[in-house]
Amino acid sequence: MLGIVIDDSRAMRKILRGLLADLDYEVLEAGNGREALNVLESTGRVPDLALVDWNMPEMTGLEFVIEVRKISEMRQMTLMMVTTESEHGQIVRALAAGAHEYVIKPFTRDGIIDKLALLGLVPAGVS
Amino acid sequence: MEMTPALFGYVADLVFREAGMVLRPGKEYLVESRLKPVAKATGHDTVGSLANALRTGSAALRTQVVEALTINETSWFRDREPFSALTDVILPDVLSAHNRPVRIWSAACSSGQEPYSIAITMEKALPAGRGYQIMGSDLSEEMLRRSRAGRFNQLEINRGLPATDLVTYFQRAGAEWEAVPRIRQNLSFQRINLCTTLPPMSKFDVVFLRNVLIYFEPDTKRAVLERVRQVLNPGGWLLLGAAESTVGIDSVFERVAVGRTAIYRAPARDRQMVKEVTQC
Amino acid sequence: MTNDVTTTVEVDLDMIAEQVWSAFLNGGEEETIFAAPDTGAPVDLAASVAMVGAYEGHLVVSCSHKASRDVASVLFAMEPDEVTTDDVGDALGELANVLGGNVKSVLPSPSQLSLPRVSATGHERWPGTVEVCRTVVRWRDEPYVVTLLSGGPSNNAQGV
Ligand SMILES: C[S@@+](CC[C@H](N)C(=O)[O-])C[C@H]1O[C@@H](n2cnc3c(N)ncnc32)[C@H](O)[C@@H]1O
Repeated sequence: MLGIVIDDSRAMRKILRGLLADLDYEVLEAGNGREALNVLESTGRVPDLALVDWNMPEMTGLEFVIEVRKISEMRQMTLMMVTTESEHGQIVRALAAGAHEYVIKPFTRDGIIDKLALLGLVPAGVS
Repeated sequence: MEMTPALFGYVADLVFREAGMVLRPGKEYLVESRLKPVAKATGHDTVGSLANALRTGSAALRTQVVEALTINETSWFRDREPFSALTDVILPDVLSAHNRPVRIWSAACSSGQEPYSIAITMEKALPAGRGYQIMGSDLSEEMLRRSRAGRFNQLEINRGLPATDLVTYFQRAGAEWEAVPRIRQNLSFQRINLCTTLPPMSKFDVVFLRNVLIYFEPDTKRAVLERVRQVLNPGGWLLLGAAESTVGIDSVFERVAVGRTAIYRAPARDRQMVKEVTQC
Repeated sequence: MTNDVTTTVEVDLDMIAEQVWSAFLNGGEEETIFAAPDTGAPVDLAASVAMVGAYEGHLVVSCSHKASRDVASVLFAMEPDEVTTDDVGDALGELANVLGGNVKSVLPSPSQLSLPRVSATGHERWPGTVEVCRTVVRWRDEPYVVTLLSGGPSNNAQGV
């Protein structure tokens, strides 16, 4: 499985990368939405999963979701917001824009894994 | 005061008597870490001195200690499969059996994630015009208070509640999320100790008895399953935790395999008669 | 725009701070975090995020150098003496961001959250703001002061 972690905090990227690596994911990283689009284009690969922060410089996570949903080759990629934005209306907006799931920061490891299980994105035999 | 083996034994006895839960020697660390906050809150320097005070202390203190020692771990749609079994197998059967509201009991509901998950499942799966009632019960007053409030913090919400369900069935209430009135009106809560005689109640179509039998001894398990069977409609359904089974404990429930899990069924009145006829 | 003074905001900072510390910094272990009395102990660093929109204000978390290293060392899973100044800024900034987002969700909406800013407290000023509430978290023997400020220019803190 291939994942991409998009967050402007290096600490957060390290935490999420470690978590995905434990689930046997290969992990790409980007510090904002624009960088993520570039990484996707230059690697030419379609991740199974993107973990997307909301507030980032240059291009926000919401803008990234909107952009990436326009690219037909990226359709199979599951988009999960992982952000501190937690108003009811914000979650509705992200889902309407095409995000599949939403995890509110602060999260625990179990919280992320529960959501990935819900999406069928925890490989069998890994816990 | 030290937590001596005698004091540990006293606490273990108390928890067994009042909750049916078995605390074997070796669980001293659990008792120590769980009771520390209670000791602090009740003005005892050590857990040992709290345990000692229990002998002469009030019933309220004993309840507080028992509640602190129960395990309340829970999450939304826990293990997921029981909830698909509810939609795919159980509901079609119950809906064809009668026209009354579907009655479901969440028999050790902890902080409420299980009964609210059931309510969300019913909202989605029930055909228009059919109603449902869910009763949640637990030993712990604190868990019941939280279940009744129907409020969950961010960390609890993150534990497996799909985002679409969150925005449909919950609204913000300060730093927490609160279940909307539309689902709350179908839920009621009551304190029930599964290890004692059950209060009188109307029968249920489905009972969730999940992740609580594991704490009980075989005799207690048998007695609890027997009681639960008494409040199920004929042909009613029982759902247990992933590590629990009626097999070897209660031979009356029928085990029905559904996907990778199993659910259990009380005998249907007429079906049993058919069996008896063919036996002759 | 400044906040309508007639709207009283109720923010349970204790509860929010407790959740953030227990999920992010306690790594599942049962470490105690508690709201501590405000001793006015000197703080070295402040991380803040600004809220702009229906609510105008700042969420600030400040602590000592040692405390900021503790946070960075947990978030980056490194020894405290291995973390760089950059790591400290990143980690403390993310802490302010997470606290800020959760606080924003209980305030009048819609508002936007700025990116976090971290600097030495001696140089940080939030002119024209009033303190709405604060809580002091004590974690691993170090105090962390979490403050919600209302009002002030929306272009974040001004260096002096
Ligand atoms: C691990 S939780 C299970 C919650 C939920 N059913 C689930 O599967 O996620 C166990 C619950 O059983 C309750 N409990 C323990 N002993 C009990 C008893 N004797 N009668 C009723 N409830 C009991 C505890 O208070 C706790 O909330």
